[in-house]
Order: sequence, then C-alpha cells, then structure tokens
Amino acid sequence: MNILVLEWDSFANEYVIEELRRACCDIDLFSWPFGRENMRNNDSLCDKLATALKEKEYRFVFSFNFFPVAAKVCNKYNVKYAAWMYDMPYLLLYSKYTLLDTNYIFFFDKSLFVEFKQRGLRHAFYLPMAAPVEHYNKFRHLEERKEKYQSEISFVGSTYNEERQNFFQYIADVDDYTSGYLKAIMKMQGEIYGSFILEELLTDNILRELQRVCPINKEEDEWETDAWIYANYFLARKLTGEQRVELLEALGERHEVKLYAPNQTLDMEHAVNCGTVDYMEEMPLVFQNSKINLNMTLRSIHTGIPLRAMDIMGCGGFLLTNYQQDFLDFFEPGIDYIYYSNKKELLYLADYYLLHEEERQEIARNGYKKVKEGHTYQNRIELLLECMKER
Amino acid sequence: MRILHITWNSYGKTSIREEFKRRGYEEDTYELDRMENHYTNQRREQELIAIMSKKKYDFVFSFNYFPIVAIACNVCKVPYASWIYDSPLVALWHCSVVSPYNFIFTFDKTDFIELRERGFQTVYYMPLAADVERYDSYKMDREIEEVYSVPISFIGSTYTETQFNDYKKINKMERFYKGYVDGLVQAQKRIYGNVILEEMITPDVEEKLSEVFHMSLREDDEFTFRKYYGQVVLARCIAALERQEILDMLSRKYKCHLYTRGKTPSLPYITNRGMAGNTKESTFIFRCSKINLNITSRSIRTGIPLRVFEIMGSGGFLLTNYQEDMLEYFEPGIDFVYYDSYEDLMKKADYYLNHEEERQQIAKNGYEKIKNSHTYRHRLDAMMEIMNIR
Repeated sequence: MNILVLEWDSFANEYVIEELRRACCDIDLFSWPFGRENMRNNDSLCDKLATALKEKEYRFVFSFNFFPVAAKVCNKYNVKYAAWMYDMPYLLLYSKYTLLDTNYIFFFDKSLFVEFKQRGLRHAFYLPMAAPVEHYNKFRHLEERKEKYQSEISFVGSTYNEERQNFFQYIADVDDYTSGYLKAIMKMQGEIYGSFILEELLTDNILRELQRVCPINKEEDEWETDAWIYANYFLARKLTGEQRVELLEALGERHEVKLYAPNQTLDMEHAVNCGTVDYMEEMPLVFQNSKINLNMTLRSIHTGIPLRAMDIMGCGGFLLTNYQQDFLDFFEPGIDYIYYSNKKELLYLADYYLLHEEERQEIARNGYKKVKEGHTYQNRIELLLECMKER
Repeated sequence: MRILHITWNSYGKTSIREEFKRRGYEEDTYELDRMENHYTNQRREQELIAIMSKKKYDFVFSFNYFPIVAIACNVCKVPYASWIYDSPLVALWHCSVVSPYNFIFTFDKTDFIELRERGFQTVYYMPLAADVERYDSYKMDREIEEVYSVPISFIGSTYTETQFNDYKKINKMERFYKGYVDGLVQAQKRIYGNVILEEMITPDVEEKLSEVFHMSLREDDEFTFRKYYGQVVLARCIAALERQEILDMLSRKYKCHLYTRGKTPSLPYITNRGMAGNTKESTFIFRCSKINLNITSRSIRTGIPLRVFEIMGSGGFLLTNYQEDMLEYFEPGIDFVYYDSYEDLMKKADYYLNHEEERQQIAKNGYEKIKNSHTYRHRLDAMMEIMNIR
C-alpha cells in the first residue's frame, strides 16, 4: 500500500511515518513548502504534486494539518487526502476545497469535528492527538541529565509575546471605546473555561472598528468570517499569553516554577524562564522530572486535548490542566489527571499535589497507563487506516 | 408555640401565616415600613424590645433580614429566623449578622456559602416554596381558560426604567470605560451559572463608576462599591437587556403575553396585559400558558427565584434560564426545561410548543415534586428542626 506523505516541519511527523511503516505501508515523502509558499493558489506546487500522483498509484496522501492546494490536486486525480488537524485556529481549513469528498479530515478537537460535520464534510473524523510512549520511555534512565530539568512546577509553551505571534499589536490603534470593550471581554473569557464566547461578542460596531484598523484580505476560496479571525488569532492568543504569565507568576510566589518558552528575553518575577526546549530530545525530560506539569490550553482550542497534555501523560508526568471538555471522553479527572477551572482552584490544587506525593504519583501512573494503552501513534494510525477504507 | 411575625409588603406573607395557623402557632404581627431606616432606628428598636419583654416569644420571624430586629432579638435573647428571598441583600453585610440569636435562612446557595466563608455559622440554605394547597383551590372554567390561554407568557418586570437610567449614566463615562462596561455586560449576558462581574471591577473602573453612580455606603456594613456595581447595577442592566431581547425575539415568532407594571413600547409584538392582579390570577396564567418563562435577574447568582416555585406549583410548564440551584432538587428535561443561550431557548420553545404530551408530562412531574417536597409546610418543618425549638 503506497502512501504519499507531505512532509513539513511538524511535530510528530516521524512517529506517524514510523507507524505507517509498521502497518506495512510504503511511504514516499514529498517535501511540502508550508510556511514558504502559498497554500491556496499555487500552480507550480499543483503541477509538482500532480506529477507525483501520476507517476505512482497511491492509496492516499497524508499531511498534518490541511492544505487546500493538496485537496484540489487530490480531488482532480481522485486520490484520497488524509489530513490530521493539530493546529487550531487553522485558517486554511476555511476554504471551498475543504468539503470535497476526496478529503478525509481528522480533527483532534471535537467541537471542530462537529462543526465541519454539520457543514457537510462527508469524511470527518474525531482523532485526538497521541503520545509516542515508547520513545519517551528511553528518557527514563538518563540519570545524569535529570537534574537540569527538575522542578516543582513547569510549563512548556509560548506566552505569545514574540513579535511573530503577537497579532494584537496590529489592532493596538483601535479607538478608546473598542479598546475598553476588548479588554473587558478578554477578561471575562479569561474566567470562563469550557465555552468560547469571544467571537460572538464582536458585535457590529466593534467589528467595524477592527476592520478599519486592521482590514483582512481574503483569497477567492476563503469563507471564514472576520470575527472568527479576530477572536481566534488576535484575542485568544493575547488572552492566553497574558493569562499564562499571570498564573505562572502567582504559582511562582509560592513554589519553584520553570517556564520553557520560545521567547528567551521574557523576564518573570517569580518564575524562571529557561528558554525553549527541543520537542523530541528535551521536553520528555522536563515532563518526567517536574512534580507538576501544567497545561494551559491556547484559548482558540475550544474543547480539544492539546498535544502537550498527551505528551505529559505519555511521559508519565503528573498533569494539572485547565478544564477542557474533550478530556472527559477518555480520561477520568481526579484519577488520570487533575483539572482547574479558575485561578483560585489552580493555586489550591498546586499546593495540594505538591504536598501529597503518593496521590500525585498514582495519578501520573494512571494517566500514563491510559495513554500507553490507548493513545499512542500506533493506536491512531490503526484507526486512521480503518477510516480511510470508508468510501 | 408563640411567634412574633415582622410583616411588611413581602411575598409569601399570606402563605406562611396560613402555615403558622395550620400548626396552631400563636402569631402576633408587627408591621415595618419598607421605606424606613432598618439599620439604626431607636424608636423601632425600643418598641420591639418592649413587645418582647411583655410577652415571651419562642422566635421572631421575617422575610428578608432587618438589622433592627436582630439587635432587639439579641437584647431580649429571642431567636430571630429570617428567610431571605432577595439577593444580594445589603442588610446581610451589616455588623448585626454576628448575633448568636440569628437564624438566617437564605434561598441562594452561593450567598449561603459566602456567608459561611465570612464566618457566620447560623446561616442555612433554604430554598423558597410554593403554596400548592392554595393554588389548587383556584378552580378553572372554560371562560378563564379562554382569557389566559397563550403559547408563551412571562410575569415580571422588564426593568426598562432602570435600564434606561443606568445606561444613560454609563454613557457619561469616558469612552474607554464605557467600552469596558459594555464589554462586561455583553459577556456576562452570554454566561449562565457564573456571575463574575464583581471580580472584573478593578480599582480604576470602580473609581470611574463611582463618578456616575452615586451611592453612599454605611459605615457599619461591609457591602463594597464593587459588590454594588457588579451584583446590583450591572446585573440589573443585563437582566433588562436580556428580558428585552428574549421577549422581543419570542414575540416576533409566537403570541406572547407579558404581565408587567410599565408600558413596553420597545416590544411592539408583545401583548402587554398589565400587572398580574394576585396569586389567583397568576395561577391561572401559569396553568393556561403552554410555556411559562423564567428569566432570573442576574443579581441572583444560583438561587431558585420564587416565580419558579409558583409556576411549577401551579402545574405550569417551566422554561427557565440555567440556574444552578435548580439541579439540587429538580431534573432538567423531566421536571422542567432550561436554556443556556438564546439559540437554545428558541429551539426549546419551538420543540415544546410542538410536543404537547411531553410538555404536559413535564409540568405534571414538576407539580408533583413541588407538592411533595417544596411547600411552606416542608420549609417550616426544616426551619423548626434547625432552630430546635419545642
């Protein structure tokens, strides 16, 4: 069975390829210029992909995330296109090529899955992220490297104030009224987990002002709304970053807190910013050697289990996460992981689980066991291959 | 059993008196004027003390809580049972709540928890009740049925005047703060089951609000400006917006009766039938409307409003906003139905108007549950047990 994998610099690419091979697929790699070239309209890329599809017969084409350009070509040559979404928000999903019947789209976020199912996507599947447990087990015995990563509490992730990530700067010039309004709705959303209200709160008058300051240009195949873009890319990020800093500082006042963020220049008063870590080679050591691993989900992920959370549990780390609905589909709160739904709870739970070592270790073990048994890339690829049989 | 009943123009007065009578309690009443000062009022205090020293009472009872009564009861060492049905009730932040003779029964679980956290041990959670026997005694006939039958009805204030005045005031704020307050109101409007406005009022916002909303706080109570703005002023603005929008939306689609005091020019499609006259009339309204709405004022954080008990206790079908305390006693979809967004509300209104049998079954279930566990008799039983008076 031949499969063409569109390869770009994504997390977990290796694991998927490994598992596809284990399932007896023959893999060809197609170097995919995501981030460098236009992913909607790109004739030369279309031609290249078309050539590849003509040369050899493929059961399907696979990519992490979804690319309209690939969907278009696959449809033309009647080849199935399997796209496993792991970014959210993801602008390219809102294309007129998304609903093609040759697309098999796998969503890690259940709310997004439901949304696209309702929009009429024929082959839509709910497929959460996974953890390469075997790979992570190799890190367990690296005694000499442990010390560097030990901490009471740690968090791996961005605070979104890097130049490239901070979209909020583009709307800094809105009028005073809008600025006050945005501040209030972000603060309110900050207190609410389990329901994303920012988008619908962008009323017409607020939208007009945002459009005046930062107009959004769309290509001919795009159909997402401006409100969706502002809410998910501009506001949700800003809110997530600010809240991550706020919560880490609050935790840092009482405990040792390490942050592993891409922005090395960010200085925190009560937490240590250790800078970025390598996803494959260092991150497992962080998760295995922190007493508490935090997951503070990016607010534009409305219900899904972020990759980070799977990785934490898959490493055997103790997971303390914000409330996120999809967890409840697979894991038991209080048994496999712990969740908080506001700042007060987070602080209390951190205190509690630092003091109760046995309980903490038991929970970490349970979480690990569950991920090992049902949430590895092997489990996912088996399921994906099964779904690809659907006509 | 001898009790002194502090009366005022409150809901439930007649029903609780009936219940006292049914039990053979000897009841004296003392009427308070709601407009008077109930915090420090020498004349009233002395009168109350005089009454209580002349006659020995087993306990004093009132709906809501009055500091002067608590003070007098403390002096005379007589238990004071107050059954709270307003939230927030500013009087509960008065220093007199510490009196060991107080038994404060509040209908809102969140208020109850908050009071306990403030260290008051003599506070109890006590939902409101329905006077089912009385509702049952009102007999219907065809004519009545014709007068009151309608797809949807709502009894209650639209807060239009409050909204108008309060909103006008917010318009005077600097643009940034006006935007901030509008943002809070719009966001909270979409969040059910968690009132978080108070925490959002940062010191600078509080200062700006105090420039447009004047309120004098008493020195002897701890009710803060933040609480006042969050739980009273803005909560009311939201209730006003919400009631306006919901009633407008529904009345454009279905025939709706609104029973309210004021005129409602901003609701062109609704049939405004004026105030519901009395319990008898509201019983008929609840029974004859296919759907009875409850849109809880946002100042009530989790408690079950009186209207809910009246609707269900009359055998009416209840469609309410999500209100957490309801889940302690009632099963959604079985005894009542709740909505948690406008979209959800419209969907459920449509569904239950078209599914008569289900609707009637739910109304019946709700009625049975109320009759069996939520009447004034049940509540007084519970209060007496807590107070342990024999």
